[in-house]
Amino acid sequence: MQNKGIAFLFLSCIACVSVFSQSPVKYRVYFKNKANQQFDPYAYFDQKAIERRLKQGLPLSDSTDFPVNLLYLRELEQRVETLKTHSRWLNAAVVMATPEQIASVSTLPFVSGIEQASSVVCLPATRDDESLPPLKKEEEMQRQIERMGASVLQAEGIHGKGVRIAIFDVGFSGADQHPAFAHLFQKQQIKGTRDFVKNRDYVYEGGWHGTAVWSCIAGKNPEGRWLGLAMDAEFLLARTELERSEPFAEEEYWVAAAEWADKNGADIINSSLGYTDTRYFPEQMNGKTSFISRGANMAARKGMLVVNAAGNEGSGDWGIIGAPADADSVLAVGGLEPCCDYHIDFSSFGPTADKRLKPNVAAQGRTFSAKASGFSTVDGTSFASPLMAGFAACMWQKYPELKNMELFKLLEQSGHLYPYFDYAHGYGLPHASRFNANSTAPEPTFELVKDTATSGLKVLIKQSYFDSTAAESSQLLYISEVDNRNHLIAYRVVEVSSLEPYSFNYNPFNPISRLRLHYKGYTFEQAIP
Amino acid sequence: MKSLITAAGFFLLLLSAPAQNVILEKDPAIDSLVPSRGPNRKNYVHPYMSFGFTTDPGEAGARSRQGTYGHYQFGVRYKRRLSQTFAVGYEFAYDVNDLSQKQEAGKVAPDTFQYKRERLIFYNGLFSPYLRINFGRRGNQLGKYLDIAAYGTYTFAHVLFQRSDLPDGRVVRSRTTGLTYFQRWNYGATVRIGINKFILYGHYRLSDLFYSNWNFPEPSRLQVGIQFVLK
Repeated sequence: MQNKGIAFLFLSCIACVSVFSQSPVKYRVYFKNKANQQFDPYAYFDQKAIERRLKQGLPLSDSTDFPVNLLYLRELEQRVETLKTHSRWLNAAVVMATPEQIASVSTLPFVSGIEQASSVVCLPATRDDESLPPLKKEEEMQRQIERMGASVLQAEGIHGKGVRIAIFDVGFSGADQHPAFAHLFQKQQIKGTRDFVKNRDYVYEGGWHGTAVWSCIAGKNPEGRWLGLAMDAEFLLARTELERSEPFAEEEYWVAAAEWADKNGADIINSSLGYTDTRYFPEQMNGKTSFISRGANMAARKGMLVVNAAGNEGSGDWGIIGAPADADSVLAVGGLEPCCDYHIDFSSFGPTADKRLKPNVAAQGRTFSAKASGFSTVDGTSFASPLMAGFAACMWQKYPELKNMELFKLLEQSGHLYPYFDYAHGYGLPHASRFNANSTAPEPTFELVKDTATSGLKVLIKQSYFDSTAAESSQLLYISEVDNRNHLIAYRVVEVSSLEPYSFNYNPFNPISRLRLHYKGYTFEQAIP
Repeated sequence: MKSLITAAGFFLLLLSAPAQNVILEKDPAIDSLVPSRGPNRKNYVHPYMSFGFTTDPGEAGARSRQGTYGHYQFGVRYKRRLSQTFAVGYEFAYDVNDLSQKQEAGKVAPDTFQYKRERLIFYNGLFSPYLRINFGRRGNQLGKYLDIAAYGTYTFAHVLFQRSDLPDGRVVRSRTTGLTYFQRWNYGATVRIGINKFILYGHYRLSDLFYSNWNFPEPSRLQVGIQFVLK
């Protein structure tokens, strides 16, 4: 009996090892070149994609636009279980292969590298929070766009006309029948749809997350109130994610969708998703490690503005932004409380692993949005991101001469905190009136003086900039300690509830070179000797 | 040292306490330090809970009832990551082995009488070193893994429950301790297959439960069950 047991355990081990190790695993195979490939941009690209390149002074095509060498793909296909997909931008193929097969692939002369892809779960950057009381709907839907200057844009008739926005999400359940989008279907503003998960064109199922996201760009409620700012924009809708846990390949789908969006003339990509601890370590959030972040940077190189949710990990263990919000050319959007210009608790913090500023900007993290049927209040940086994408579309309509990264910079500069920033708010909430505006130097709203009592410093708010009747959290003082590389060593936000001076000390052992403070539009810097 | 300095700084900050309310305070210089603890970091400690079934019947004369709940554990496991593929570790657990004995002709252990119910329950302390083989790429997650472990247990308490239903309708229950025919020290092997916090395990006793001079056949050696990582 004892021998039988030992045999059982031994066989269990063997079986487990063989099940785990012999079953095909997903790999990304990178190729050395695209030898002997031809490419005609006029045949491949939509006219709008050509226009984008011309407008931004980009070449009509470069080697990354050329197709992957078909001979390489055929050779690869013979050596693996399945060839899943490929990316011309990254000159790579995604395959399912056993270790033996992948070893054989690695000997091919045209293969430059192989990386194992994971097959784990990541959900879109939204969250359900039933604990928060719903705001008044009218108030909320008005506020989420008015905070960014909806009335200014309305007065100028700027609604994103001529700008094409690609939305990548889990699906757009019910959107084709939803009154929130009827005007878009009526005016034929949907220029293309693609489900990369099921490899078909129908995208109006899979989950309502995309429906809610879309509504924050261009939806309206039955009374005709707008939920987003870019109701005149054109749309490309792509399904790149699965809503629930399944082994999946969203990163590859995302990159494939970005190539599709590029081909079909998208100007802006909005994606409200993030990949975090299921695949990566925080120190890998450097914009270079993940496949999706590399793809997102490539999309920016093609002249598109990539807008991505910062993520909802701010109050979780992970804490920081995920991929592709970590990519340097991706506009990462954090979330703000509906009440005030203050970080909403779940919004992921920056910086990136290599200390770059993230999130770049912020928008309202709690919105009134369309769902599969009807409307609801939803939480998540998933919805801050499309608000920002809609705003960006409006600004691009207004300033069509801007290149994508110029637009990126101007969006940052129109943030309510600019030139102040921190890793919770980025540069803050952009507003149409601040965008590309020649602003005069703001008047000081406070003074920073030595506090003789504590040997520290104290901030004296000027009386004319303090409103004793103002709502809670509406008067905020931002303070950061900055090193000589402009990285923040520490930062804090103080709610100013009286004219009582705010005294503080900084840690003299930290390598601080400057203190930076912001209150009501005025930013002040003081060097630390 | 750095944390002390930070704590001192924070204390100073408190001393200089504001009339104003600090609503957000972050220290990214420290926040961004790479932690050494975590599911796929250098060190990881987590509690776990197991529920197992008696799976093999055991030898004739001491057969256990199969499919009954027979194994419970509550323990703490330490994992030391060696590489993305390999880890080693050890665990301590409170382990309960509950053998529900079949009442059938030819039964000899722990006695020859047949009861309505008969359970031998051992309360053990368990120590188990293990080797972990991980499969696939992952972030700071446990991922998919196979554990091969050896274990040793010491029985610090035990009880024999016997219940008889008499013809006149009365029920006689007995509870016996101080049994002398079983070994307090036992050892065996465990195999676990896990996906993140869910684990299937097989737990096989290699040592004989009863002293050889009693000439008892061996009861069930194998339990199979599910385990949950609790952190």
